[in-house]
Amino acid sequence: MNKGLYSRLALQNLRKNGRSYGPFLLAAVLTVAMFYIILALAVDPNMESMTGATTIQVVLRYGVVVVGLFAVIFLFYTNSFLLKRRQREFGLFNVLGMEKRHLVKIIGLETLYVFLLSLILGLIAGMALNKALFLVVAKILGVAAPLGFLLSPRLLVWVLAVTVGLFAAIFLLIFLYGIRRVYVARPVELLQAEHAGEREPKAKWLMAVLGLICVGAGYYISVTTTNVLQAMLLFFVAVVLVIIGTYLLFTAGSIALLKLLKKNKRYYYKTRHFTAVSGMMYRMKQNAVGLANICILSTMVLVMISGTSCLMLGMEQSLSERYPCDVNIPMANADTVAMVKRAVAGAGIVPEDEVWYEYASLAAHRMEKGLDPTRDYSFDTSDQDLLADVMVVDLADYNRVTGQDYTLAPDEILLRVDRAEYTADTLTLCGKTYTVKAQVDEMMKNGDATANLTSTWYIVVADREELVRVIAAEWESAGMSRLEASGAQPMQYYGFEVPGHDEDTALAARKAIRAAWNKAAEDDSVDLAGTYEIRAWERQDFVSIYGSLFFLGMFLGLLFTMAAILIIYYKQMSEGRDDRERFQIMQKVGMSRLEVKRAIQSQVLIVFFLPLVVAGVHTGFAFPIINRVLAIFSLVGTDFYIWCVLGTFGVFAAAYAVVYALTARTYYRLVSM
Amino acid sequence: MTILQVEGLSKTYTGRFGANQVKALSNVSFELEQGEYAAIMGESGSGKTTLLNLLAAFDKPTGGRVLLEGKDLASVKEDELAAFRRDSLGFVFQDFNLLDNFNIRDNIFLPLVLAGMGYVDMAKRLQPIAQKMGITDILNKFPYEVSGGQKQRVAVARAVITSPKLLLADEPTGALDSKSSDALLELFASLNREGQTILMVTHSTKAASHAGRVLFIKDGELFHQLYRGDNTNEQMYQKIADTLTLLATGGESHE
Repeated sequence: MNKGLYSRLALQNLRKNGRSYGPFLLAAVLTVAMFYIILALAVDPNMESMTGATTIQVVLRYGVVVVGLFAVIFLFYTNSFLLKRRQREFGLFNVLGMEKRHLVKIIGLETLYVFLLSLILGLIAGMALNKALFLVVAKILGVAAPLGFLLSPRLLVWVLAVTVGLFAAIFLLIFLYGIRRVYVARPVELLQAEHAGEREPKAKWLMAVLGLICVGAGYYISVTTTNVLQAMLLFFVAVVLVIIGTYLLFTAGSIALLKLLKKNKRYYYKTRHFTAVSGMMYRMKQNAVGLANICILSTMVLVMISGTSCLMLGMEQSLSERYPCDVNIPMANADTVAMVKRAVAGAGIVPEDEVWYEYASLAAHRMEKGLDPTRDYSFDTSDQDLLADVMVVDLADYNRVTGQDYTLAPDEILLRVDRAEYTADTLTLCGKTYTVKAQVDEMMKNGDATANLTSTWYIVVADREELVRVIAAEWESAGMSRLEASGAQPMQYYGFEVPGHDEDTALAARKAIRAAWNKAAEDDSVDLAGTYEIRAWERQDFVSIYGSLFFLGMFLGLLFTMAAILIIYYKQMSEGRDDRERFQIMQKVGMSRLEVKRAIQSQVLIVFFLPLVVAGVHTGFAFPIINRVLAIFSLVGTDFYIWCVLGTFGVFAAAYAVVYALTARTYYRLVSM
Repeated sequence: MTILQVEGLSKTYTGRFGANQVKALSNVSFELEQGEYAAIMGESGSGKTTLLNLLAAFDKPTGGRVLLEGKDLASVKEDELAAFRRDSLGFVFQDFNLLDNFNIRDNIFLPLVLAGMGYVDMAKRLQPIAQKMGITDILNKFPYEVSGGQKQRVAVARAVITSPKLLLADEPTGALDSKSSDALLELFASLNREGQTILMVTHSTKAASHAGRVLFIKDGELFHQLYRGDNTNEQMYQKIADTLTLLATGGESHE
């Protein structure tokens, strides 16, 4: 009979606290489902069998770790929030004669019920959505999903076991925390717990200033780091700094600011500011960490989704920059180009829009008034600004390929510099000083040159002799004898489009070229040079990497958004309860309902949108550094990324506003009850 | 001059779907003169609090009317009620109703700030009142840092700083020890001597014995009135106690 009583009590408690346990249950269900899904996708052999999907599984396995960690922290955090609010209830049970071990029993049963319910519902939802998300992944990868996909029984059991194990551990942790709370507290304290800590917070100026410095340093790093290779490393330093700074600013900075406002009597003793300033101080004391959490989660969502969607949506543009033609044969020689042409013709493919030119490609150090070729490749990232990648072509090829009509004297050049500035009138290259006749925009496309992280210098010299001279001079400077250097020859670039840019045709062309290439390499019949790059083929690699990052970004973004929403909801609820009393008193001493409503509104608005605004500012300041990190993966421009960020922010803010509208209603109900 | 007129006041609470009609107050009439100090006595559930809520226009009567300086409370528009209450009435509650997040000074300033008064004027008004209430030293403290008696004196300061026409007190000694109670009642008496009209609701005989007039309420009806006349506090106390005994044993109305 006793047993029945406890389980009845536990169930009743859950039902009675439905408004707070409901969202928690929903969050637990979703977390279980999402963990199951990402684990199942990460081990699904069907994923591997899809083209290029090995990358996505590597990425997804990182995702499993992130989601798992997140589940532990998130569920534990929200539950502790719930328990704190129920202290009073426990205290009452305690006073009514229930021993602590009975309380533990009830909490244990409650936790068990929530665990079982969220696990069962979560797994059902996970299994149902798994197939759907598999299709989404297939769609992103642009391949047909194999039919009749199902995890093999052995794998299914494994995935289920891991999921159950993880969440059993999390709920055990939650239970242990509950026990601790009950045992540590004395009954009177349990009863009064909700009224503890009404002390006015002290301003911690040092912490506030430290927070400002941290955030400022993070921003500074982001804005000033121009070196792309350092950017990767510094990015993480900046992230950590901004996270620490955000916590400090929300906890200490907000209070310090409010104290300042309070000191200003003229400002403080105004009807509207009076209640707002003191109310906010009170709120920030209790909710600063929660708001900082929301802010950081929001920033992560914004950065992740805007970054990955930028990669994904900008993929075609990156591809066409990196692989200007459907078929590209860079760094080749005449024999190789001839062989490729024969192979393509042999496969019955008619090349269209053929591009062919000769060029030299050299690495150089940037000097004050020119470029010095160097073979010293001891690569120090801090030197990166000094490194220059130089591509030299002659005027005849330039005019032919780009359709321009320039003329050049023997010591004149045309110049185009990417990712750097050059304003001098003359330029010294390999010991000869040229006059820069013009800086041009038009340039023949070359994937190798655009793929660089360093600055790229395109130089058009007067004729082929001049081009050969540059190459010979570079060879000599690299330690070759003059005789060896006299055999210098430019490299050739050959590229063409396949009819209708048809993917199958392009892949067929690749097959033919590959066969000829391998044969030539085997029997040494052709003096091979360079490589072959077919855009349609490379696209699969791009899709695999960017697509999996995109998927993971969306997946985690969704998870974090859910977390942020739940935290917001709980904040609103607990604040509504606290504020009710306060606003009732104010009404009694002569505040009208309208004034009360307005005061509530302004406070709720500030508390609600402060994290979003700060997240927006964070994202804005993260922009420069992420833009540069993205440059490593992608060749799309800053403009495109700006649109990705704005779009993501817009969608996120809209979702946020909807949540606000929904929770604000609950809040008003609580306050005006 | 009559400051408060209560004419045939009734309040009936209706349960959901019109069932369970509860008569909280029926046909209560009395008047209060300028400078009077009256107490309303009755047991819990007798309708004291309902009456006070109607006087403060927190609630609307189902019958009769309340006139403050000849102005019918029912004629004050909903959106002007708060300002009206703020300017005309001062409240002292049993549980103090101080705001935890304001210090003592700001708690007292609250109604003035709501009325839009500037800081310098507020400070000018506060100084003599704080002195009178004996709370000058604790102005910068927070409610949780001071005793119950001090809290109630702060609440009184907050109630009178707007110079209200009528000070309404709801069981002001209910949460105080006897020493603090005595001090508070003495304070009320001295406020009254300076001309403050006070209406206090209480079920403490001691508290009521300080008043100039005591009205007794039983089951929502005005049952009896006592005037102090030349009686001392002690004599008044005895009279009230007798009346209460009569009330409890079911005596007939003396009216």
